[in-house]
Amino acid sequence: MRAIANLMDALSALLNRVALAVAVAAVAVMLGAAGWQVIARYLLSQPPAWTEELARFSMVWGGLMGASCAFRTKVDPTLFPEALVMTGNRGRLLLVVRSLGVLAFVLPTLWFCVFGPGANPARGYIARLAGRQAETMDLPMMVFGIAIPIAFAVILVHVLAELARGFAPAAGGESRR
Amino acid sequence: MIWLVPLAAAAFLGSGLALAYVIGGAAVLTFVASDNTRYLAVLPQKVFSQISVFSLLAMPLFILAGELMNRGGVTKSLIDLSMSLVGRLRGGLGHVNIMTSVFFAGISGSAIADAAALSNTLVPAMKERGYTDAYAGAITAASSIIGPIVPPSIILIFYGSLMQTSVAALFVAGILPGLLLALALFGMNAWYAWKEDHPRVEKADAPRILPSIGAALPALSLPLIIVGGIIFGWMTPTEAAAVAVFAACLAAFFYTGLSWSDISESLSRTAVLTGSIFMILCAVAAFGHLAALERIPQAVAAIVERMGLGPIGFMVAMNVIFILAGMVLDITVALALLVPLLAPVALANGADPVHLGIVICFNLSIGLVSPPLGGCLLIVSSVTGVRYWDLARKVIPFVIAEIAVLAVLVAFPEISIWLPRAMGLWH
Amino acid sequence: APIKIALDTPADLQQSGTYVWAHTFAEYLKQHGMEAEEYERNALGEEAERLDQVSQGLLEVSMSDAKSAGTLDGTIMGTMMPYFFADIPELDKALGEGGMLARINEGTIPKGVRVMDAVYLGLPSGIHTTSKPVATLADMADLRMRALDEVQIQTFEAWGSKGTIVSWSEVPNALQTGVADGYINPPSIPLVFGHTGFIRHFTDAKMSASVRVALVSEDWYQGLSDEERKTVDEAAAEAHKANRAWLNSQTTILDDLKAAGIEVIELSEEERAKFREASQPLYKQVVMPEGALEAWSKAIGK
Ligand code: NA
Ligand code: NA
Repeated sequence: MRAIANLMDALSALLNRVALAVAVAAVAVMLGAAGWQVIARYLLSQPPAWTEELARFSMVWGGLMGASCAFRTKVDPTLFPEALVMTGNRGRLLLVVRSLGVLAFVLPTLWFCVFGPGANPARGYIARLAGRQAETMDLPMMVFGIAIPIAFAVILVHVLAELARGFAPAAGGESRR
Repeated sequence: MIWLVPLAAAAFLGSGLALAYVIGGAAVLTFVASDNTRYLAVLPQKVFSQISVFSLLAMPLFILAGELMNRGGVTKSLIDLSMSLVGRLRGGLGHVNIMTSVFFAGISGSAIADAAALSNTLVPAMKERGYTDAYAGAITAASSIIGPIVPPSIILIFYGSLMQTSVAALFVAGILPGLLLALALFGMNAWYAWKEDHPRVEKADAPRILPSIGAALPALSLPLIIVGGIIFGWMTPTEAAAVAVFAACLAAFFYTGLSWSDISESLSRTAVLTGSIFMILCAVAAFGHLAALERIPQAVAAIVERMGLGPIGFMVAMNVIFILAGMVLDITVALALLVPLLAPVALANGADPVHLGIVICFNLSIGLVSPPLGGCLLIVSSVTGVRYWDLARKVIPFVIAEIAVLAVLVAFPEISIWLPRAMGLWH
Repeated sequence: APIKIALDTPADLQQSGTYVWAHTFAEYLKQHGMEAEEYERNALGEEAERLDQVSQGLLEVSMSDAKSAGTLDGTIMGTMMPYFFADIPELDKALGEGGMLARINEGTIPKGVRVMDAVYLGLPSGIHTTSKPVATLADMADLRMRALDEVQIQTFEAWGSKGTIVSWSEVPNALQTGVADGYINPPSIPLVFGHTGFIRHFTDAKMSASVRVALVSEDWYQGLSDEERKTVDEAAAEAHKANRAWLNSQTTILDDLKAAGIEVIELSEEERAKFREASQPLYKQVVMPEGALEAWSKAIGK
């Protein structure tokens, strides 16, 4: 049990580092695209068509990856932060309630990313996006939309890791946060 | 079944769950309880379309600019200048906060971007000078809504297109109400400063005016470039936000400079804060879709119409509806759903379309800073780390003052219409 | 549950051709025992979202832009080729007798979307500008026009001017700040969307029909009983007729523009020929599936 908790936590921490790196890169790309639009307007007297779309879609990647990091590091605003530091059985109960709330939002979103009507993966959101082109860039929309299931799956791992930490017998002191 | 949803939402709230997931989880449960389970299939595309919005780009970029200005000493030079100008007044930094928001309003079209950028720069400075963090956060949130009232304004552009009303006239009409709002907030801050004995800067500590102007020049040129850029049509607000980031970097080299770790920390903080905000937007979008499907705004409008309130009663009711809508709905959703329904009734009752636009914009903006669920409060809370409820409690007097300004605006339409009419933009 | 019909314009029977279609369709269904409900513009989502909902069977009917259907199958992009069709009856003929609507549907139906009809939003598109009137092709040279997509960018380049992509919600801001100098749209658009404060000139260039589409969910359509499906088909036919009749009644729109303070410029035959000539290379650039351009040419007997 404890070994599983440690493993889950390590996975969650690793994913968090990767997500943060991707998010930072996406913000940098977004800034570059928006900045290039201004420069190009005056240097080339015409901004390239793709800058707006690239900036928007980088924002989607950066924002969603950032959202998973915000979840793991608990910077999302909450009304009752003191509930987060409770321990013992009451703390575990609150942890379960919190996890249920997250899962209620995350699981259906993930499900419908993958599956379409009649649980058909060929008609799921990602499959639908695979057949659609971005407006100005020669790329399928899937390249951008895939950020949603990835971010939500990362959040799912963070939730499971947190649950595992909360319920693993705390042999050697406090569990890591 | 549906009664289970508020219970579950209360349990989520009490468990300390982040608001984004409280809203998202409750939205999903509402879909299920109201027999709309199959429509949960819209979730991925709602998430995507809610955040891949061009006008949102300005938000993370202004957050980033704020991060860089903080780390590069730009903010400090501006605060020194403001201190030399109004710091000697009691509650000086509160005044600086409001003044900066007026200035920011000329750059940004949304209160969210405004709140995010100033939370990042002025709140830490105010805390350093001995203000409570709740007060610093509250005045930042309260003054952020000057942003969408003073032009440019995303809300007004949206309203203008829905109501076929001249956006130029709407923009000009927002100037005086925005300044009136600022005046009221200056008054509130002065009153608090007197009552709670807020710090004023001692004469010996106050920077001298001329040197601090000189030191602040690189920083001051930055908003000038941005405002000028937009006014003279050199760039869109989003591009201006990008320019602000580069200008912040440049200006930083006049001050303390930026290390690579400053830059990478700024980027990662921007990503995480943006993500935190986006998750709220996504969750709200899920609720918004359900409200649209179930035609809840229409039902509300029908009830209002059936009550037969008369012109004044209707105006009051409409104000209440829009404030409530601003509290629970995404602003664009609230506009798209409610304006086509309620505005024609208001016009039939003798309202002026331009004045109505300003009033609606004012209403929705107040909703952004009103507890229980104000978007700007959430932003300020997540950027500054100030507890949401502390902020919500502290902001209430400011909200009351804003409602009073709104009431004056409703009673005297000339405040908004006079200027565009004088400039020949409206008749 | 009632059939959801998502609108794409304000519910205005005077100014919006797509609303005429949608409203006629809805009323016909209601009169024949099927429940239908109109949803305000963007209430159920913007273009891409509505397309996605239709393809999943979550939304029964959506009034959409043709570009939206074009992301599923590009054949429909042909309807927007500037100066390709002599007039609207010729385009209608290509879609109907010429079999092009059926050909479009061969591409979209496998993706769950049926293009029920091509709908005209208003009179053929012309050039709206903020500061500079356009009376000749040469006048386009120093303008930076708002483009909807890559096709319009290419169009402006072919005409010797420049395009910049701006999403519709940003258009008022872009025009007022000078990020763009104008756009291509039907003449009624500044009136419908309240752009009369900054659009000052309209050139009646009649470059292409303002085509939008009525999309229907194929899951839903196939799930109907034979009798219901017949009613839906009849409703669409009725809506089609109403839309074309409305279009023919749009004779006062140029006067309405003038009344709103917008200068209306007629192109001389000579200048129109120049625009047509400059547009010829565009047809090969429109991204369409293999063979679609030939099919369009054949459908109009070229
Ligand atoms: Na503003
Ligand atoms: Na402020």
